[in-house]
Amino acid sequence: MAVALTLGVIITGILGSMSTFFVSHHLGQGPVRSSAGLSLLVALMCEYLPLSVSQELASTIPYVFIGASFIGMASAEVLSQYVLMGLAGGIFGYLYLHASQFFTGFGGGLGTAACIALMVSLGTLALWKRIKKP
Amino acid sequence: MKKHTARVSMAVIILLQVIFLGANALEKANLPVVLLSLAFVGIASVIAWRNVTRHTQDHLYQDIWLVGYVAFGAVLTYWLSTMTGTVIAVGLVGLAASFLPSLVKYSWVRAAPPAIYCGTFVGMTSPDVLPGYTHILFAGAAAGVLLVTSKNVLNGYGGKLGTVAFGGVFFMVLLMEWLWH
Repeated sequence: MAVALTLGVIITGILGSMSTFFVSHHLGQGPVRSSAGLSLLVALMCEYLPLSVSQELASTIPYVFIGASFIGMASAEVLSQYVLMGLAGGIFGYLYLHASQFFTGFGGGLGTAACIALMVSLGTLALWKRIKKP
Repeated sequence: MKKHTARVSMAVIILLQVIFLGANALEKANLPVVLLSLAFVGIASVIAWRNVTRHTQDHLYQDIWLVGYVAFGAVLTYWLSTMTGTVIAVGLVGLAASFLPSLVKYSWVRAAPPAIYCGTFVGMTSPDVLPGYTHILFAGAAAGVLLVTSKNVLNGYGGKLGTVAFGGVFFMVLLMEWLWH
Protein backbone atom coordinates (compact mmCIF):
# COMPACT_ATOMS: atom_id res chain seq x y z
CA MET A 1 0.00 0.00 0.00
CA ALA A 2 2.76 2.42 1.03
CA VAL A 3 4.82 1.43 -2.01
CA ALA A 4 1.84 2.00 -4.32
CA LEU A 5 1.24 5.44 -2.77
CA THR A 6 4.93 6.40 -3.05
CA LEU A 7 5.12 5.26 -6.67
CA GLY A 8 1.79 6.90 -7.50
CA VAL A 9 2.88 10.23 -6.02
CA ILE A 10 6.27 10.24 -7.79
CA ILE A 11 4.77 9.19 -11.16
CA THR A 12 2.04 11.86 -10.79
CA GLY A 13 4.74 14.43 -10.03
CA ILE A 14 6.69 13.50 -13.18
CA LEU A 15 3.56 13.53 -15.37
CA GLY A 16 2.27 16.78 -13.83
CA SER A 17 5.40 18.79 -14.58
CA MET A 18 6.04 17.33 -18.05
CA SER A 19 2.44 17.53 -19.31
CA THR A 20 2.03 21.14 -18.12
CA PHE A 21 5.26 22.15 -19.84
CA PHE A 22 4.15 20.38 -23.02
CA VAL A 23 0.69 22.02 -23.12
CA SER A 24 2.17 25.41 -22.19
CA HIS A 25 4.96 25.51 -24.76
CA HIS A 26 4.23 22.98 -27.49
CA LEU A 27 0.47 23.57 -27.63
CA GLY A 28 0.94 27.28 -26.94
CA GLN A 29 -1.63 27.57 -24.15
CA GLY A 30 0.59 29.50 -21.73
CA PRO A 31 1.55 28.55 -18.19
CA VAL A 32 -1.61 29.56 -16.26
CA ARG A 33 -4.13 27.89 -18.61
CA SER A 34 -2.01 24.73 -18.85
CA SER A 35 -1.55 24.33 -15.12
CA ALA A 36 -5.13 25.26 -14.17
CA GLY A 37 -6.78 23.36 -17.04
CA LEU A 38 -4.86 20.11 -16.58
CA SER A 39 -5.21 20.22 -12.79
CA LEU A 40 -8.96 20.78 -13.13
CA LEU A 41 -9.21 17.83 -15.51
CA VAL A 42 -7.24 15.52 -13.18
CA ALA A 43 -9.22 16.67 -10.10
CA LEU A 44 -12.55 16.05 -11.89
CA MET A 45 -11.37 12.61 -13.05
CA CYS A 46 -10.32 11.61 -9.52
CA GLU A 47 -13.59 12.96 -8.12
CA TYR A 48 -16.09 11.52 -10.57
CA LEU A 49 -14.50 8.60 -12.47
CA PRO A 50 -14.21 5.14 -10.93
CA LEU A 51 -10.40 4.77 -10.85
CA SER A 52 -8.69 1.49 -10.08
CA VAL A 53 -6.47 3.03 -7.38
CA SER A 54 -6.91 3.26 -3.62
CA GLN A 55 -9.10 5.98 -2.13
CA GLU A 56 -6.03 7.49 -0.44
CA LEU A 57 -4.11 7.75 -3.72
CA ALA A 58 -7.15 9.08 -5.60
CA SER A 59 -7.55 11.88 -3.07
CA THR A 60 -3.78 12.64 -3.11
CA ILE A 61 -3.27 12.70 -6.90
CA PRO A 62 -5.00 16.10 -7.55
CA TYR A 63 -2.78 17.87 -4.96
CA VAL A 64 0.41 16.26 -6.26
CA PHE A 65 -0.55 16.98 -9.86
CA ILE A 66 -1.35 20.66 -9.27
CA GLY A 67 1.85 21.10 -7.26
CA ALA A 68 3.97 19.46 -9.97
CA SER A 69 2.18 21.48 -12.64
CA PHE A 70 3.70 24.65 -11.08
CA ILE A 71 7.11 23.31 -12.12
CA GLY A 72 5.83 22.91 -15.69
CA MET A 73 4.90 26.61 -15.68
CA ALA A 74 8.63 27.42 -15.99
CA SER A 75 9.72 29.29 -19.08
CA ALA A 76 11.77 27.49 -21.73
CA GLU A 77 14.67 29.90 -21.01
CA VAL A 78 14.89 28.56 -17.47
CA LEU A 79 14.48 24.84 -18.25
CA SER A 80 13.70 23.29 -21.60
CA GLN A 81 14.75 19.65 -21.20
CA TYR A 82 11.95 17.20 -20.51
CA VAL A 83 14.30 14.91 -18.57
CA LEU A 84 15.08 17.67 -16.07
CA MET A 85 11.41 18.68 -15.97
CA GLY A 86 10.53 15.09 -15.09
CA LEU A 87 13.35 14.95 -12.53
CA ALA A 88 11.97 18.10 -10.87
CA GLY A 89 8.49 16.52 -10.85
CA GLY A 90 9.88 13.37 -9.21
CA ILE A 91 11.74 15.45 -6.60
CA PHE A 92 8.51 17.34 -5.93
CA GLY A 93 6.76 14.00 -5.32
CA TYR A 94 9.50 13.03 -2.86
CA LEU A 95 9.22 16.39 -1.04
CA TYR A 96 5.43 15.99 -0.95
CA LEU A 97 5.78 12.57 0.70
CA HIS A 98 8.15 13.98 3.33
CA ALA A 99 6.45 17.35 3.81
CA SER A 100 6.29 18.82 7.29
CA GLN A 101 2.95 18.54 9.08
CA PHE A 102 3.62 22.00 10.47
CA PHE A 103 2.67 23.68 7.19
CA THR A 104 -0.33 21.46 6.41
CA GLY A 105 -3.17 23.68 5.22
CA PHE A 106 -0.88 26.62 4.37
CA GLY A 107 -1.73 27.94 0.91
CA GLY A 108 1.36 28.16 -1.28
CA GLY A 109 3.09 25.20 0.38
CA LEU A 110 2.81 23.14 -2.80
CA GLY A 111 4.24 26.00 -4.86
CA THR A 112 7.15 26.45 -2.46
CA ALA A 113 7.95 22.72 -2.73
CA ALA A 114 7.64 23.02 -6.54
CA CYS A 115 10.07 25.95 -6.64
CA ILE A 116 12.55 24.06 -4.45
CA ALA A 117 12.23 20.95 -6.68
CA LEU A 118 12.92 23.05 -9.79
CA MET A 119 15.95 24.63 -8.10
CA VAL A 120 17.27 21.17 -7.15
CA SER A 121 16.88 20.04 -10.76
CA LEU A 122 18.76 23.12 -12.01
CA GLY A 123 21.39 22.73 -9.29
CA THR A 124 21.90 19.07 -10.21
CA LEU A 125 22.40 20.07 -13.85
CA ALA A 126 24.99 22.68 -12.83
CA LEU A 127 26.75 20.14 -10.59
CA TRP A 128 26.75 17.54 -13.39
CA LYS A 129 28.27 20.05 -15.83
CA ARG A 130 30.96 20.94 -13.28
CA ILE A 131 31.84 17.26 -12.71
CA LYS A 132 31.89 16.47 -16.45
CA LYS A 133 34.16 19.46 -17.20
CA PRO A 134 37.69 18.20 -17.90
CA MET B 1 16.13 51.41 -5.52
CA LYS B 2 15.23 48.74 -8.12
CA LYS B 3 18.29 46.70 -7.06
CA HIS B 4 17.53 47.00 -3.34
CA THR B 5 13.87 45.97 -3.84
CA ALA B 6 14.99 42.92 -5.83
CA ARG B 7 17.61 42.00 -3.22
CA VAL B 8 15.16 42.27 -0.31
CA SER B 9 12.50 40.25 -2.20
CA MET B 10 15.07 37.61 -3.09
CA ALA B 11 16.14 37.38 0.55
CA VAL B 12 12.48 36.99 1.62
CA ILE B 13 11.87 34.22 -0.96
CA ILE B 14 15.08 32.38 0.05
CA LEU B 15 14.11 32.72 3.74
CA LEU B 16 10.65 31.27 3.03
CA GLN B 17 12.21 28.26 1.28
CA VAL B 18 14.72 27.78 4.12
CA ILE B 19 11.87 27.86 6.69
CA PHE B 20 9.88 25.35 4.59
CA LEU B 21 12.82 22.94 4.21
CA GLY B 22 13.93 23.53 7.80
CA ALA B 23 10.52 22.44 9.13
CA ASN B 24 10.79 19.25 7.04
CA ALA B 25 14.31 18.55 8.35
CA LEU B 26 13.28 19.14 11.99
CA GLU B 27 10.35 16.77 11.69
CA LYS B 28 12.39 14.05 9.98
CA ALA B 29 15.41 14.36 12.29
CA ASN B 30 15.04 10.68 13.21
CA LEU B 31 15.21 9.52 9.57
CA PRO B 32 18.86 9.73 8.38
CA VAL B 33 18.06 8.90 4.73
CA VAL B 34 15.48 11.70 4.50
CA LEU B 35 17.84 14.10 6.30
CA LEU B 36 20.64 13.26 3.86
CA SER B 37 18.37 13.77 0.86
CA LEU B 38 17.18 17.10 2.32
CA ALA B 39 20.84 18.10 2.73
CA PHE B 40 21.36 17.38 -0.98
CA VAL B 41 18.20 19.40 -1.75
CA GLY B 42 19.71 22.30 0.21
CA ILE B 43 23.11 22.11 -1.55
CA ALA B 44 21.61 21.81 -5.05
CA SER B 45 19.25 24.72 -4.30
CA VAL B 46 22.17 26.94 -3.21
CA ILE B 47 24.02 26.13 -6.46
CA ALA B 48 20.89 26.94 -8.50
CA TRP B 49 20.28 30.21 -6.61
CA ARG B 50 23.83 31.34 -7.43
CA ASN B 51 23.01 31.01 -11.16
CA VAL B 52 19.60 32.73 -11.07
CA THR B 53 19.22 35.31 -13.84
CA ARG B 54 18.58 38.86 -12.63
CA HIS B 55 16.08 41.09 -14.41
CA THR B 56 15.85 44.88 -14.37
CA GLN B 57 12.27 45.77 -15.25
CA ASP B 58 10.91 49.05 -13.90
CA HIS B 59 8.28 49.09 -11.18
CA LEU B 60 5.21 50.81 -12.58
CA TYR B 61 2.13 52.35 -10.96
CA GLN B 62 0.02 49.78 -12.87
CA ASP B 63 1.69 47.05 -10.79
CA ILE B 64 -0.54 48.10 -7.88
CA TRP B 65 -3.37 46.34 -9.73
CA LEU B 66 -1.59 43.06 -9.04
CA VAL B 67 -2.25 43.39 -5.29
CA GLY B 68 -5.98 43.58 -6.00
CA TYR B 69 -5.87 40.67 -8.44
CA VAL B 70 -4.07 38.41 -5.94
CA ALA B 71 -6.51 39.32 -3.13
CA PHE B 72 -9.49 38.78 -5.47
CA GLY B 73 -8.19 35.37 -6.60
CA ALA B 74 -7.61 34.37 -2.97
CA VAL B 75 -11.08 35.28 -1.71
CA LEU B 76 -12.85 33.81 -4.76
CA THR B 77 -11.00 30.48 -4.47
CA TYR B 78 -11.51 30.32 -0.69
CA TRP B 79 -15.26 30.78 -1.22
CA LEU B 80 -15.50 28.39 -4.19
CA SER B 81 -13.50 25.65 -2.44
CA THR B 82 -16.20 25.33 0.24
CA MET B 83 -18.51 24.08 -2.53
CA THR B 84 -16.29 22.29 -5.05
CA GLY B 85 -13.14 21.17 -3.23
CA THR B 86 -9.77 22.95 -3.27
CA VAL B 87 -8.10 21.76 -6.48
CA ILE B 88 -11.29 22.10 -8.56
CA ALA B 89 -11.74 25.65 -7.22
CA VAL B 90 -8.13 26.58 -8.10
CA GLY B 91 -8.52 25.02 -11.56
CA LEU B 92 -11.79 26.84 -12.28
CA VAL B 93 -10.55 30.26 -11.15
CA GLY B 94 -7.17 29.84 -12.87
CA LEU B 95 -8.73 28.64 -16.12
CA ALA B 96 -11.23 31.52 -16.15
CA ALA B 97 -8.43 34.01 -15.38
CA SER B 98 -6.33 32.71 -18.28
CA PHE B 99 -9.06 33.78 -20.73
CA LEU B 100 -9.42 37.32 -19.28
CA PRO B 101 -6.89 39.09 -21.57
CA SER B 102 -8.60 37.73 -24.69
CA LEU B 103 -12.05 38.80 -23.42
CA VAL B 104 -11.17 42.22 -21.96
CA LYS B 105 -8.76 44.21 -24.08
CA TYR B 106 -7.64 46.80 -21.49
CA SER B 107 -3.92 46.95 -20.78
CA TRP B 108 -4.44 46.60 -17.01
CA VAL B 109 -5.99 43.16 -17.54
CA ARG B 110 -2.93 41.78 -19.34
CA ALA B 111 -1.06 40.92 -16.12
CA ALA B 112 -4.16 39.55 -14.39
CA PRO B 113 -3.92 35.76 -15.07
CA PRO B 114 -0.66 35.00 -13.17
CA ALA B 115 -1.62 37.36 -10.33
CA ILE B 116 -5.11 35.83 -9.93
CA TYR B 117 -3.57 32.36 -10.15
CA CYS B 118 -1.12 33.37 -7.40
CA GLY B 119 -4.17 34.44 -5.37
CA THR B 120 -5.81 31.05 -5.86
CA PHE B 121 -2.87 29.45 -4.00
CA VAL B 122 -3.53 31.75 -1.04
CA GLY B 123 -7.20 30.72 -1.29
CA MET B 124 -6.15 27.04 -0.91
CA THR B 125 -5.42 27.78 2.74
CA SER B 126 -7.38 25.65 5.19
CA PRO B 127 -9.92 27.41 7.47
CA ASP B 128 -7.96 25.86 10.38
CA VAL B 129 -4.99 28.07 9.42
CA LEU B 130 -6.76 31.29 8.35
CA PRO B 131 -10.36 31.23 9.58
CA GLY B 132 -12.30 33.72 7.52
CA TYR B 133 -12.50 35.91 4.45
CA THR B 134 -10.83 38.94 6.11
CA HIS B 135 -7.74 36.90 6.94
CA ILE B 136 -7.60 35.51 3.40
CA LEU B 137 -8.07 39.01 1.96
CA PHE B 138 -5.13 40.37 3.98
CA ALA B 139 -2.98 37.30 3.21
CA GLY B 140 -3.78 37.84 -0.48
CA ALA B 141 -2.85 41.51 -0.24
CA ALA B 142 0.43 40.63 1.51
CA ALA B 143 1.20 38.09 -1.22
CA GLY B 144 0.32 40.76 -3.80
CA VAL B 145 2.85 43.19 -2.29
CA LEU B 146 5.52 40.45 -2.39
CA LEU B 147 4.56 39.69 -6.01
CA VAL B 148 5.01 43.35 -6.97
CA THR B 149 8.32 43.76 -5.13
CA SER B 150 9.68 40.47 -6.51
CA LYS B 151 9.03 41.54 -10.10
CA ASN B 152 12.71 41.14 -10.99
CA VAL B 153 13.29 37.93 -9.02
CA LEU B 154 12.82 34.35 -10.32
CA ASN B 155 11.05 35.45 -13.52
CA GLY B 156 10.02 32.35 -15.46
CA TYR B 157 10.77 29.98 -12.58
CA GLY B 158 7.97 27.51 -11.86
CA GLY B 159 6.75 27.69 -8.28
CA LYS B 160 7.53 31.37 -7.82
CA LEU B 161 3.83 32.27 -7.54
CA GLY B 162 3.32 29.53 -4.96
CA THR B 163 6.28 30.72 -2.89
CA VAL B 164 4.88 34.26 -3.02
CA ALA B 165 1.46 32.95 -1.89
CA PHE B 166 3.12 30.99 0.93
CA GLY B 167 4.82 34.24 1.99
CA GLY B 168 1.46 36.01 2.22
CA VAL B 169 -0.13 33.22 4.26
CA PHE B 170 2.94 32.88 6.51
CA PHE B 171 2.98 36.66 7.14
CA MET B 172 -0.72 36.61 8.05
CA VAL B 173 -0.28 33.65 10.42
CA LEU B 174 2.65 35.44 12.11
CA LEU B 175 0.59 38.63 12.39
CA MET B 176 -2.32 36.73 13.96
CA GLU B 177 0.02 35.06 16.45
CA TRP B 178 1.55 38.43 17.34
CA LEU B 179 -1.81 40.14 17.75
CA TRP B 180 -3.27 37.36 19.90
CA HIS B 181 -0.28 37.15 22.24
